[in-house]
Amino acid sequence: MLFNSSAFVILVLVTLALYYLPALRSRQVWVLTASSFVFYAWESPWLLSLLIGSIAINVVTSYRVARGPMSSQKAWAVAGVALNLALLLFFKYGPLVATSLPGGAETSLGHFLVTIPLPIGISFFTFQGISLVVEVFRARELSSRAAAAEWVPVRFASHLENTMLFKAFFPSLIAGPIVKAHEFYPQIRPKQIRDIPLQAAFRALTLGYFLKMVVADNLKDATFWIQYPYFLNESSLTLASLLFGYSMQIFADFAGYSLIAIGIAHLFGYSLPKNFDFPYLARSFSEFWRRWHISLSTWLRDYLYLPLGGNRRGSVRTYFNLFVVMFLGGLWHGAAWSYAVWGTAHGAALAAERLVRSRVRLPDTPGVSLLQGGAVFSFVTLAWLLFKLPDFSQVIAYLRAMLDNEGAANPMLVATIAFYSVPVALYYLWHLAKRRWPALSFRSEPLAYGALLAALVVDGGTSGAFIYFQF
Amino acid sequence: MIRRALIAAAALLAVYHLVLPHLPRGWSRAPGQQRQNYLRAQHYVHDVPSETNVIVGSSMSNELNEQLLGRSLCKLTFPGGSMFTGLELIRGSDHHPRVVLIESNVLLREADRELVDNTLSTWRRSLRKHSPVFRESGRPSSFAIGLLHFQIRDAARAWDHWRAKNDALPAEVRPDRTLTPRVFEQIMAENRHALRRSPAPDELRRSANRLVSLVNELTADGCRCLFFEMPIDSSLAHLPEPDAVRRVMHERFPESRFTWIEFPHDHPYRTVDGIHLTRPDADLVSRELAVASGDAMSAPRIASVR
Repeated sequence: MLFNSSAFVILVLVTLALYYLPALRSRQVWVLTASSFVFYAWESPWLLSLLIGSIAINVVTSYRVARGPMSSQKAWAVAGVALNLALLLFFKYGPLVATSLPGGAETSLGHFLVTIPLPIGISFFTFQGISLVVEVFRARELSSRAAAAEWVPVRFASHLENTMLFKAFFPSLIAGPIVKAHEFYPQIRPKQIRDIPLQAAFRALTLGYFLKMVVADNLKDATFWIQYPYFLNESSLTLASLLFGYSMQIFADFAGYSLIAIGIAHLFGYSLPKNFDFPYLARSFSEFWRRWHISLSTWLRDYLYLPLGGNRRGSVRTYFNLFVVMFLGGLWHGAAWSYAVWGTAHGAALAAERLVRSRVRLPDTPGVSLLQGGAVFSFVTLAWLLFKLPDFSQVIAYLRAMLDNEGAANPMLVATIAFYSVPVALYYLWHLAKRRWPALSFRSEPLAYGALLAALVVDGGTSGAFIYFQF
Repeated sequence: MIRRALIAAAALLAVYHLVLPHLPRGWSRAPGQQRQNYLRAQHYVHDVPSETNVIVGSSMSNELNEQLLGRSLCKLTFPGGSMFTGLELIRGSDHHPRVVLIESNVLLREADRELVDNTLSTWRRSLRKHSPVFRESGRPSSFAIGLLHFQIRDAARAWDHWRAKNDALPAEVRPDRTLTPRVFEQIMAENRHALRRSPAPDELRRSANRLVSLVNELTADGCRCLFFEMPIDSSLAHLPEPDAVRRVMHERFPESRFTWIEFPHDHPYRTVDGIHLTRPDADLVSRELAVASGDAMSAPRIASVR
C-alpha cells in the first residue's frame, strides 16, 4: 500500500478512530499491529506469513537472550542474528547468487533462486530485528538488567505484543526510518489524543507529501529519459540536467517518505528518528553519511563498523572497515553488483578523504567550503547513476555521452528539472538562513504551508512507488 | 498554525481560480509524456463533443497529424499505452462516438488503469467540470515550465545559430533532434531484440478476448469500429511479436466482417526509430485515416463479434 494512495488514507483514518476509542485504549498495540498487517498484506497477502515468521524469530530469540539461562544467551543471540540474515539472504540475494553461479539461471537451482520474489521492506524489518536481538544481548552482557527488563517483560505474551508492533509498525515498515529497539520499546505505552504533537505532525506530513507528490513524482517523468538507449541522443547539457534532476528526485522521494512516516507515527503518539539532515550541504563524505539515510548509517556504524573495530585498530584496518561497511551497505540497497560498486565507490571516497585529511589541512574559508560541497555533491550525484541504470555498460555509455554529445539542451526536460528543483533549493536555503540567523522567525509560515497544500491539490505528479521500496 | 495554513491554501486556490482564465493558453506546456496523456484524456472527457469519432492506440498513432485528421476525429492515443486505454475511456465516459479507429499494433499492453480511474473518477470529474484549476491544462507548473521552456529553447537556438555561423557546430549535431545514425542503429537493435520474442498464447488470447468484448460493447451502442496497422520499419514488421499480434487480430476481427484500413503498400515508410513514423509519412497515414473515417460515417452498422 502506497502512502500516496486513497486506500492508505482510509486505513490511517479508520486506525486513528479505533486507536483513540476509550473502550480500546488497553488494546492500542493490537489495533496498530492489526492495521500494520493489513497495510503489509494489501498487495500480496502471502507476504504476511514472512513478516510473521520474522517476528517469531525475533520474539523467541530475544526473549531467550533476555530471560533464558545465562549459559545459552550467546547461542540464542547468534541464532537470532543468523536467522535474520538467512531470511534476508534467501529472499533478497537468491537471484544475485543464481546469476553469479556458473551456469547462471539455467541450472535448476539457479532457476529456483531467480524466481524467488523480493518481499517489500524485508531489508528494513530484518535490520530492526537484528537491532533488537543485539541490543538485548548487549544489555545483558553489560548487566544493565533494567534496560533489558524494560524491553523484554517477564510475560512472554507481553513481549510478543510489543515485538509485533516494533517489527510491523506500518509508518516505518516498508522503507524506514530503521528504528532501533532502544528508540522504540520505551515508547510503547497507552496514548491519548492530547499526546499527539499536532503541529509537528502537520509540518512533517505537508512537507513530506509535497516533496514526494509534487517534486519527486513530477521529476520522475523527466528523469524517465535516463533510459538506454534513448539517453544516447541527448546533449551533454541535457544529460547533466537529467542526472541533477535524478539527484533531486531521489532526495525528495526518500526524504519525503521519511517525513510522511514521521508524521504518521506522530499521529499515533510515536516518535521516529530523523532520517535526513540536508545531505546535499555536506562538505565531506563522512558528513554526507551523517546526513543521508541517518537511520541506516547509524545502524551500520553501531552493528557493523564498531564491532569490526571502527578506527581503533590502526589506519589500514580502518580503511578496510570502511570498505567492508560501504560494500555491504551498497549491497543492502539491492541485489545487484551495481549497488555493491556504488557502495564501494563511497567507501573509497571515505577512505581517500580520511587519507587526505591526515596529510593536508585545508583552510576553513567560505570558498573552500563551497568547493568541497560542490565536489561531494557532484560525486554523490554521479554515483546515483548506478541506482538508475542497472547495467555497467549503460552507465559507461551515459558518462561517455555526457562528455561527447554536442548540441543544444532539450528545452522541455531542462525546464521541467529546473522548475521542480527550485522547491528543494528553497528548502535548503531556508535551513541555511535559519542556521545563520537562529533568531529568524517565519511569520509567514502558515502561508508557506498553505502554498505547499495548494500545490499538493493542483500540482501532484502521477503517482509512483517510492524509489526506496525496491530495497 | 494549522487552521491558518488551511485558510491560506483555500485562499490561494480561490485566487488562482480567478486568475487562471486570464493566463495566455499558449504558455501552457504539459511536461512529460505521462502528463500529456492525462491532458489528452481530460480534454476528451470534458471538451470533446460526445459523438466525435475517435482514434485509439499507442505512441505509434500518437504521431498522426491532428490538423490533417480534422476536427471530427479525436486522438485518444497514449505513448506507453495501447488501444485499451482509449477504449476504456470511451466506455467509462458518457461519449457515443459513431466511428472508432483502432490501431492494432500494440495488443499486449493493458489499459493505464491509474489514468483511466483518475480521469473518470466521479468527484474528480465534478471538480474539473467546475474549475479548470483541477485540470491538467490548468496546472500552475504548466505555465511556469512553458515560459521557462520558451526561454531555454530560444537561448539554445541562438547558441546553435551563433556556432553554425562560426563553423563551430559539428556536422552530426541535428537541430531537428532526429537520431544520429549510431543511436538509430542501437535503438533498432533494442527493438529487434524486443520484437523477436514470441508472446505467450494465453496472454494473446486474453488480450484479444478483452478487445472483442470492448468492440462488442461499442458496436451494440451503434458505433462502427475500424482497424488499422501503423506501418513500421520493414525490417521489424515481420518479427515474431508483430506477426503473432497481426495473426490474432485478423483471426478475431476478420476482413470479411470488419473494415481494415490499408495504407499504400508500395510506399517506403520511414521511421525515426524503427517504430514511429517520420512527420511526412505520419501525414500520409493521417490523410488516409481521415478519408476512411469519413467513408465509414455513411456505411451501414455491423453485427457484433464473438
